[in-house]
Amino acid sequence: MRTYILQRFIQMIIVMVVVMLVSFIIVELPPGDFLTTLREQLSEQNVDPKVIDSTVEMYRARYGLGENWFFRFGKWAWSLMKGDMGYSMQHNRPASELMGERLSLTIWISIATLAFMFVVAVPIGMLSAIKQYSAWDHSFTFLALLGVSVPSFITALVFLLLSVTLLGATTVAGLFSPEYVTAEWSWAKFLDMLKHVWIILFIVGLGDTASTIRVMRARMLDTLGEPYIDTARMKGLSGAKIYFRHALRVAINPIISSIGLRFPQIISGSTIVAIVLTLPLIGPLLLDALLGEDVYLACSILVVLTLALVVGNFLADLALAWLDPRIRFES
Amino acid sequence: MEQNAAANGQPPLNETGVEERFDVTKQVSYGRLIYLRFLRNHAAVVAAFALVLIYLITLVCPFFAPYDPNTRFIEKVAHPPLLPTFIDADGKFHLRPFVFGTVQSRDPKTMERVYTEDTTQRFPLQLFVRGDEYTFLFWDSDLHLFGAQDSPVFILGTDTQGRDLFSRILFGGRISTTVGLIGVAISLLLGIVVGMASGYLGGAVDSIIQRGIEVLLSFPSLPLWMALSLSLPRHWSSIRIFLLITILLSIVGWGGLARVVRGMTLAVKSEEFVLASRMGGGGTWWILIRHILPTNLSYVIVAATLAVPGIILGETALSFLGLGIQPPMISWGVLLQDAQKVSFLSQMPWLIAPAFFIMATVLAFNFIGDGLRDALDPYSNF
Amino acid sequence: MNSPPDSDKVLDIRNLRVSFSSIAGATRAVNGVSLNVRSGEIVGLVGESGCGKSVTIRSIVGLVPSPPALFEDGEIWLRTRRGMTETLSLYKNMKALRQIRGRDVSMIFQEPMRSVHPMMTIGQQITEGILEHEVVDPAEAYDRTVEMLDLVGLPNPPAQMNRYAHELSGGMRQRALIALALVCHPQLLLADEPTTALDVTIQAQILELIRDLRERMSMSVLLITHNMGVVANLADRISVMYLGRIMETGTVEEIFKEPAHPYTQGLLASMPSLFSQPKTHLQSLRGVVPELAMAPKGCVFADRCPHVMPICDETPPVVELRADHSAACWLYDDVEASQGPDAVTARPPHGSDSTLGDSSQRVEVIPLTKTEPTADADQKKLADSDTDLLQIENVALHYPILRGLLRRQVGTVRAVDGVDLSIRRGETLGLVGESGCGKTSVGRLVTRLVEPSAGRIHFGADGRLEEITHIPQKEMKGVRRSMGMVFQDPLSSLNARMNIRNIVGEPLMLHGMARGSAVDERVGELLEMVGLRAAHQSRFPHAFSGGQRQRIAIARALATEPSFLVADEPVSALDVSVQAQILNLLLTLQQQLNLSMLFIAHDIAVVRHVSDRIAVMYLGKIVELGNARDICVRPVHPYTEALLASIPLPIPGLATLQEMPKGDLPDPANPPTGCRFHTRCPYSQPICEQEEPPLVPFADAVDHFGACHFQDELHLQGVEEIGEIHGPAAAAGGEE
Repeated sequence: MRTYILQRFIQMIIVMVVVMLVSFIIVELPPGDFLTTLREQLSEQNVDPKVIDSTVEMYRARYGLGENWFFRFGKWAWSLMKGDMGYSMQHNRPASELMGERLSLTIWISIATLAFMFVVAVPIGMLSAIKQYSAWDHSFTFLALLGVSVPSFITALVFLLLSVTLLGATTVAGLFSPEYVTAEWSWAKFLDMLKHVWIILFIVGLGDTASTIRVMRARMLDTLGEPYIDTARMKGLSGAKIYFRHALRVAINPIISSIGLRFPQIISGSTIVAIVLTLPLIGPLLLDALLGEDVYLACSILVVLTLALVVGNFLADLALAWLDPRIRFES
Repeated sequence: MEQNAAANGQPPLNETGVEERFDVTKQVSYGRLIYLRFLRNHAAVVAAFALVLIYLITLVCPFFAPYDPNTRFIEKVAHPPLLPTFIDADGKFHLRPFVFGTVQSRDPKTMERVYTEDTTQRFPLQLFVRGDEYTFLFWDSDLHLFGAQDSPVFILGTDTQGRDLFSRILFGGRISTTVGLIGVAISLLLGIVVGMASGYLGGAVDSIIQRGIEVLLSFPSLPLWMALSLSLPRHWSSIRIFLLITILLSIVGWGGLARVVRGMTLAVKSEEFVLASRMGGGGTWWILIRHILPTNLSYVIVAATLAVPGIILGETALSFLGLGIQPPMISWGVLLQDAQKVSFLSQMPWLIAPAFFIMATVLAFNFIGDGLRDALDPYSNF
Repeated sequence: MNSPPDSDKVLDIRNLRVSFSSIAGATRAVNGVSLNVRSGEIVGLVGESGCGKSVTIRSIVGLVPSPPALFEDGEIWLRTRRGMTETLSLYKNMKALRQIRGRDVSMIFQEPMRSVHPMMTIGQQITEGILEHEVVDPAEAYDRTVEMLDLVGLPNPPAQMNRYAHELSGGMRQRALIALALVCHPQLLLADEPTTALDVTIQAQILELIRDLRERMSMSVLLITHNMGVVANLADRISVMYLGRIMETGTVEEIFKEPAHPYTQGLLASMPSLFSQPKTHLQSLRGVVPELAMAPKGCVFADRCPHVMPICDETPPVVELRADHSAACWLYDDVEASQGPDAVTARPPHGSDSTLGDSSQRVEVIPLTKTEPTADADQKKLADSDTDLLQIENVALHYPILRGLLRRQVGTVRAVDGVDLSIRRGETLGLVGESGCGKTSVGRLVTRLVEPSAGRIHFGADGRLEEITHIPQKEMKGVRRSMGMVFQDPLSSLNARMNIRNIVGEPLMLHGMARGSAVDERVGELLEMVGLRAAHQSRFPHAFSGGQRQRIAIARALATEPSFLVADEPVSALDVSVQAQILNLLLTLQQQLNLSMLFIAHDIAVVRHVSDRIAVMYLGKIVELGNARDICVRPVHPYTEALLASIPLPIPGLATLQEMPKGDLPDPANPPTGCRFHTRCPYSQPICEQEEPPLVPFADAVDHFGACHFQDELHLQGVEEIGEIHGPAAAAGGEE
């Protein structure tokens, strides 16, 4: 068990380093001299030339521009690890300040979506397998395929269309009621968010929920065909005990281990849904940064999101190890 | 019983008596068997037809679209869809469908444009009408599948600049569906080469490749695409941007395919028929090309079919956000940009129409992929 | 027939008919099966794969999913704690059925590796059964589980309680499953091929355990198996099943000594036994088991039966030959009518065929050559033996065990650990051992499909031995032209995407031996040679049955006219009746083409039947080597003795060894010190733990080697000694 965790941990660290390296290369990719672009942009914004000079100088020092790439990467990575997300040239503010609660909200919404996916998909998939070829099974098999085919931004658009045409809404339903949008966090604000958030979860999670239903159904069918289920039947156990105590805990494993692949998709989904519905998540900020060619801000966002995923992946591995003795006892 | 008679009537072939008893399905090739099994899946067959239709229409879109995508009808800006009908204002039935004429006015309060039907004007639809000129391959023409004389036909309405949405969707589809195919082709090439190398060579090569793919898959694809799109020079021609976007999408998407190929290669590598081929004198290349590739191919085709939607959606999402295909080039994502603005959408709900074309295409690919996968098991019962 | 049976019967199946609906239409898997089990009795239900025996046994407890199954007719009466109960009628009442399962009737399954839940401890799984049926407190359930685990012979039961499936070997899992099945003291145990997935020595242990538990727990057992040998030593009565019907039922003595139905006779004759004349044709049933939908009308065996008559187009009657012996065959029909059941012997009345029913000739011996092996032949053999075709010296195959991210080597699996062998021209060397002993690796080493870690391999097709241990693959290709290989799994050894012409013709094309239509011609010849039609070459593998696929694989192996053939478990995946056909084919071809053969198998009876010499392998080492006959008559290594004794022979009442090898095969990554067999050897002495015995000549024999410290002192039991004591079957088929 300990070796397994250690192994996973080392793997996680390696992945993190590579992720940062890749992100750094993306930062470096755009053609043209970064400092020149910066100078141009700042002067377009009518910034005081002195401030421009000092800002450019600050960047040169911070990112070691003009040095070799290895050195620059080291500097950049080091400042990231210190929690310094870089500096937005567009907004002229530290990136971490801009990200602020958008980042934590994004991660929380993604986790909630994941939970939503589990809660909805596992029972439906399980029941579809148990009642194979029933009307229930057929309809959910079809719905799931439909759900897999609809990207979240289209669901969001359709939702937008419906609320505009049917409900006559003029503004988009956000995370909060208007009176709470700028309010400080409070219990009331949290409750208000709960009222709004489920529709977001549905929109973001629809595709992954649908595909999880399909995986769950297939895995449950496989598991129910296993000889040890026959063994359980021959003990005289009831259907419920067989399904929940014997089949479910085996069938659910691949779903848990697939969290690592689901989570990035959910983050992707929440990014674009947030843009469509203008939610106070990280997505609009990222788009903004990209359109404004705010390189360091964009990449800090990418790195932070990916690192959150890598950590989530690691936690999923731990959960799996805790659940499955075959992994737990592997020396 | 026919088989029984055949079995009893036929003398055994030799002392060990291997007999002739095959049903028809067993005499066909593996490929044909898959085909026959696929035909049994009706949803998949319908999807296959739909997909062929979609590709055909978008390929020859200048003919199927009534107008050039950039033709602007200045007096018909933000015109709602006008569906052809058979019954006129007096309730009389006409064999040839027609559209009514429309009159533009302004809502006195909101100052919004309002179009009202003028039921006295009937414009019958006609097939093979002359209209905007276009060049398809090397062939100049002005022939369009349908249209009406003296009046434009907007079956899906027009956009904010008075361009026919239906025509634009067909032209946009040409780009969007092509991105899917080219993207998957690139992914496939990468996936097959890397996957087969990883699976067949094994060892350190395999470990390194697998870790690499893991890293690739642990990025959230959309933000990564968005970030990568930064590297596209803005001043490039739209066709180059289009190609670069496609390459970019497939660079992120090949990891999954490579995994499938690797898994298959590993499974096949340990199959006894590969050992048998080596015994018969087959070298590495022979085995890869004659045995492993064909055995993998069918599964790879399934994986590729199921990967096309991802790439189409990637392009659509990027273009939708303004980071992908750039106007004047059109794709479904570009068309949906207009629908992003709540004010537009509330006045012109038909702007969401491209979304349904996207969904139909993606759904068709998924149904076909599902059907193929079910049809593939070589030893499943017919 | 709606009345419950007499109380003597634990199980009474009457006229059961089960069909399955599929897209292809309905097929009847079980067609009028009647069967009963009395108190304290072990009944064997024997049949080849797909004959419906599993469906029958699973119908008793409602484990056949319906749909697709349809129970058309019949009754299944089971003695329960509430009296005789008809279980088919309980299908609608799952609760009542559940109360019976595990409490009145239990079941163990074919694949112990997959029948234990992977994520629950052994203890949890067994106590769960007790708590389901009885009101006991958990502590008592725990105690009873421990007691039960002890009863089935698992070492240190309290420790086993907390273990998971993956920590147990196959044999231990089957023991745990038996404990699980019997913990509520059911009166009837259903055993569905309980030993098929296990190694022979483990199989013997499990069979012994079932026999022992029947006495101790005074229960009845219904055992289904495809292996006649398994039931011979265990069952009191036997029913033989074929394509959904019972062909013959009788006491074990009657079935084996006077089998009445031609199918039973054929099955018995087609098994290579330890007493048959080696290297002779086995009497085999012709054809293959047809698919259910293709079964003949009337008597389902008619198309393969040597005595087929016009009347066989009609369903045969079940004829009572004796009080406890009946057969469903037209051969005995008028006997019953004229003389009544008491007067009937199992002899066919028409005298149509002398082999039928005549027990002394039942195991038909057809020598390949008309002449007895004369001095002439011996001389030829001697001359041949001067020239070895293949020699391997001290060959080893070690796999590193790599762990962790950095792939550090943490150990070595010694799959093959220093093996010396030679194969003479025209000779068949049999290589026998249990799974994981390295026998398959040896086959792949001599053909260089895997690279040896040490040692040297010499091969010479044209008389001169040349070292091929390290020659480049390009040269090896030329050498492989003189080698052929037949694999175990006829399903995976043919590429499903290629037609037969390309499969069989591949070596021809690769070696540039034929091109275009010449390939068609040669492939046609090869197919005819192995008993298939030349015209079949355009077909694909999925059109052929397992036996036919194995013929295709043989044709491919012989395409380049090799002088050396490696046959790696060529018959172990096949049905008994087809197995005999393939063995016959191999023997014929070997003689026709003067092939040398390395024949690898886990079944020493099969190996003995085809081999001139036998090498016995255990954990990567050869422990005994000698003439096939010598090894079986007078084994010198305790492991060989154990292997011989573990083979379930189709001779009822055969005494087994006093002491069978204990425990499981050790981990090949961590083999025992000294003699590798010492952990399981009943004759083990202190020295065995410390010193590894070398392979040395056995005292009074030429050409017979053993690797046991005490081989000159021990007098181990061979088969002939058993054979002479037991019965006419041995005398008829045994060595002269």
